[in-house]
Amino acid sequence: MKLTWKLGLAVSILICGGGLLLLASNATDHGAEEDMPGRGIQALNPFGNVLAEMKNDREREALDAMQKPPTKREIAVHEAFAGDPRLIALSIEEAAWLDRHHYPKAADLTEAESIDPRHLAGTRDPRLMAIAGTAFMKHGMNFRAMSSHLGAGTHGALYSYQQGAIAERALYEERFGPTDADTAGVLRARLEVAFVLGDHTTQYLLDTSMADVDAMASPRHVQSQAREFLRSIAEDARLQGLPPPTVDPRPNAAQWKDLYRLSRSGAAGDLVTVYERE
Amino acid sequence: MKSSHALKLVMASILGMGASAVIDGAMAGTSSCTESGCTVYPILFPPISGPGEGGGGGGGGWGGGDGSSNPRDEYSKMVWCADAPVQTWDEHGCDLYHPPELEVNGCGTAGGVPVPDFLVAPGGLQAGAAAFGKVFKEACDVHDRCYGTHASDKHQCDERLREDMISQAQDKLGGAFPVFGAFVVGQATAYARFLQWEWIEPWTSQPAYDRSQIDAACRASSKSFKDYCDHIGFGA
Repeated sequence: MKLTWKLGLAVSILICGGGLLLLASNATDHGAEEDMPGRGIQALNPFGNVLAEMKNDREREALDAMQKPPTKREIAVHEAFAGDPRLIALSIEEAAWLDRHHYPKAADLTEAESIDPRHLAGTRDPRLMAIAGTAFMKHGMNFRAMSSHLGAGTHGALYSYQQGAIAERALYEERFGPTDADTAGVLRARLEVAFVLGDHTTQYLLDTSMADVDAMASPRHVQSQAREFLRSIAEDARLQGLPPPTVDPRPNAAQWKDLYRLSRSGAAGDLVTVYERE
Repeated sequence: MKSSHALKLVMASILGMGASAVIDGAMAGTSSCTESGCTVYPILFPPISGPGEGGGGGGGGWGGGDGSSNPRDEYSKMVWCADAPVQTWDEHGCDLYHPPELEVNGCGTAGGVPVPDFLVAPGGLQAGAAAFGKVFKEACDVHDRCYGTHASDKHQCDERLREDMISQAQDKLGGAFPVFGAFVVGQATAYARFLQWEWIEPWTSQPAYDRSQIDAACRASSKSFKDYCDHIGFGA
């Protein structure tokens, strides 16, 4: 009996003590909130600071990975779309992504205008392969342009792989007549490969030079053919002792979506910050 | 059959379609047959008689366009369009609504035997040759596309394969071409000759070409069929 009475007392002390502790901690919190007015906003986005820190880290890493830091400048949206927007970066991180995937720089494309692409035969540098492909295309050698560009795709050069599809189209039109639904399925699958591996700006081609291809292609055909192309790229990479290209999403997908919308609307005069690689 | 389609069908059969003019207009640009006819692999024709009508035959067909179509044949075609996509198999086994797709898959196989799209070299050189990767992949892709093009010339496709294989290897091998060039030319020539060697052609490349051409003809027929049905307002 004595023991039961003592046990009851102990339990009630514990409960009351806990309650008092809770009250005390609440009071402290309220006091702190009055001291920090921004805390309410932070509560809505509890990971805001962490995300900002992560972004800074990523940008620092991107800068470290680049040989030279990109130059920042502002251009109008219509200017961005007057050239090839696939070569434009909207952030340092995206500029590093372009480097990582061997996107040519403006100087490279200028160089491709004047060189003899046969001098680049045998190169295993995807950037040079892209230059050779561009030069072959300029000389009307569509098969060799296609081969160079798609070959660079094995190294993860997504721009080149897309250009390979353009060269392939020119070749098929030269040999087999105007693009039909069969060719469209194959070409759309090539673009789908670049899309799947992470380059959302493939949309630019689908809106412009490949718009009719997109309209003609059958989804079932595109799916089976894209699967075959992905398998083939991986096999080719393994033969060459390279890591097979993997999914690496291009940054700023949402910003690009907005830019596409702006370019189509009348507000194409708005300014946008771009990062040019040196 | 949808009621709107049924109405069109009835109207068309009453009017006799003004038949050949409409058909010719719809089909003229889509048939791949020339004046010399579809001698090797003609565009596939659906049976002339409509469902429930036994027998029949002769004249008309998808891609005909000779101006001699009679209204009953046009009626049959309209029945086909109206019933699509439920009943769209022609007498050659071509599914007009889901034709076989063109498959581009490198050098692939010949009679079940894998055909390498990398360079093959003897003995100790093989490792070095294979390290260049799939040096013939794009040449074989284009060859697949050539076989899959309706009414393409097999001999021309095979000869082009050889040329493409050599030019692609030249670009990919560069400075190593003098070392491996003989194997490149040998492999390219072997592929082209193998595909055209009269002793084995009937059992190897000819069936592959025939199959590709039948598929291509089916795709062409399918396009004609869909264009025609769209034209007369029965599009799926």
